[in-house]
Amino acid sequence: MAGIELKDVMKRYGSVEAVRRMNLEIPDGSFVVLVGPSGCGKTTTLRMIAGLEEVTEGEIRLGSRDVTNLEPKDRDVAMVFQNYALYPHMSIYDNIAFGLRARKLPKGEIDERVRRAATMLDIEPLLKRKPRALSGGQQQRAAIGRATVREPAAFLFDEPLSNLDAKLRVEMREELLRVHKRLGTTVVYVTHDQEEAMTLSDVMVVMSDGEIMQHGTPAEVYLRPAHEFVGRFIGSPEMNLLDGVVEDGTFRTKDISVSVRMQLDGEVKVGIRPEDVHLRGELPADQASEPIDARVEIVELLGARAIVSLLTGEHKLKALVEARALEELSEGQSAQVAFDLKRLHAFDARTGERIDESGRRFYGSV
Amino acid sequence: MNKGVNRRTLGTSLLRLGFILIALVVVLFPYLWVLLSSLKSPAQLSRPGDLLFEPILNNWIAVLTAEIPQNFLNSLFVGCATVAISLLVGTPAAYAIGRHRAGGRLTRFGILTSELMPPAVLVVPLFAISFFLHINGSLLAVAASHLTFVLPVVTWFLIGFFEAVPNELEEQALVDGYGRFAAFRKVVLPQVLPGVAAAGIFGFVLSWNDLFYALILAGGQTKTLPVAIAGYNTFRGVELGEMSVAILVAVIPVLVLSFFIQKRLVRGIGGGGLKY
Repeated sequence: MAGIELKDVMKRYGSVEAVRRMNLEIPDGSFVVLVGPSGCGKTTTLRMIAGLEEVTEGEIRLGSRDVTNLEPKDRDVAMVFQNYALYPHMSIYDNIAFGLRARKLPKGEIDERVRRAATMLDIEPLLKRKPRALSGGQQQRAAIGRATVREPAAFLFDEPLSNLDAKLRVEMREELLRVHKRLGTTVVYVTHDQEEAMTLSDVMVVMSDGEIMQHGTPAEVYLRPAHEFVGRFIGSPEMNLLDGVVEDGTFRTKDISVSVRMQLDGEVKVGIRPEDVHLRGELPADQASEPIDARVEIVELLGARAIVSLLTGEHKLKALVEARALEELSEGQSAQVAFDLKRLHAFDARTGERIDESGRRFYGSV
Repeated sequence: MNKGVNRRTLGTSLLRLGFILIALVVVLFPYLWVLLSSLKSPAQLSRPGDLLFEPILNNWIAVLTAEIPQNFLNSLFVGCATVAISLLVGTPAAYAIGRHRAGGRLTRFGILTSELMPPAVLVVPLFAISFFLHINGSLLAVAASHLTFVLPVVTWFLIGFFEAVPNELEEQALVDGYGRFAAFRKVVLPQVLPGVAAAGIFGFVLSWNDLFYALILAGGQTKTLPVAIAGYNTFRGVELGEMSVAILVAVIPVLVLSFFIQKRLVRGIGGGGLKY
């Protein structure tokens, strides 16, 4: 068990910087998720921690050791790949025992550890089978078992749930959390799925284009996104973003005019999450913005809630409302909505950085 | 409407059957002819038009008690030696080219350029070298010459198989605690073994069939089968009966081996394609 530290880590392929100067501290025992769109550098970062990619510049420390130039086999990390990478020619037992045999552990201990891991993950009856005889979920568990049995300093997961269907994915998420709670080992987890990041992480690291955009708890990242990119990427349905101007405490676009409680002036991008867009009358008066006229374009019923797509003259807005509100709404109808003023986000029109209430720009918490 | 469909299908089937029969006859007829020729006396051989004849075993006895068994062993030795060295060298080479793109994009097909070279170009230097090394006339010299066309093909054949092994499999082994060589041995190699076996058989057949190098670089006790078969074409005329026996002795092992690898041959030429 150990914390991980990346110091000024940079990865360059020829002239392309896949990972720009990155500093990251991962506390021992935490579950850290690197999340971002394809190509943001999250997998490259993970592979550098594993030792599968060389670090162009910088230092990686695992606990007290400088592992920057160590071979993967000497780093004491266990990795789980997206396609599980189970050795097809070996039984599940041999797959799980593989890493232990590399370390030349005594046979008895290997057997005990393998069976214990298999029992914990509910795959004991499958030990004699070959990987191709297992279902996707079972293979996933075998891959996790192979990682846990080594009792490494850290687990590295590269989009391990992407190959599973939606239901299995949710099940496996809980399984992973259970394993993490039980073992307490540091986890670095890479995903492009913001929901996985939100549900699994103690700390989320949102990446884009080789850089860390924000790094904080799920609540911090969700409620106070440090950058327009983070606001859009995290949260589903996506945050509504409006380009406009603030003058004398009023944010104006072509057809929206709301008073804002921010010390701002000039061009700004305002963000409001769909769940903070309410039908008129639902919000207490001191929280509600001035009403905005819109027409309902599409209603998507999710069950208890619904996503309502609205059109003002210039903007497309999405609102997340309770299903019962649909009694008043139908496609094609006009409606009036209001923003929850307590939940407005403001971003610099040029750089996208968050502007907080007192007008200060603040860039993540790197 | 039913009748029309039936008629068309029947016609197509008959046509197909016709083509297959023709192909079968074209392919099998030579073997049949040779088999029959091996059982005929010289007198009967001079009358090929006769459909009926009394089969004799003289040719078989004559051939199998003479040098052909030795020639068979010679061919076998050369084939095995060629394949062994080709696999030993070619497998790691194919790994390097397939997995690590060693030599760049050109190497993958560039190694086949040696196949384009006419044997006549290489045989004189090879003869000279074997002479200076005092191995001229030996089976070793023949095997060495066979490597010039077997090794590239075997390597090229294996590249596709190595490319089909997912990189993650090897990387998993590295993270699990093995160095690159151990990871290759324990994880990558087992995935390509079917390809290695097919490449070996393929290479063996190529070596087995060579006449040119064996003719020039060996002789006498070290004659291989193709050379021996050619030897039945004497100044007295072609000794067809005995030649037929020798041909069958040479061809039957190849037929058997080819049967076993036909599936894998397609895979290798198509570029691997192992499923995970």
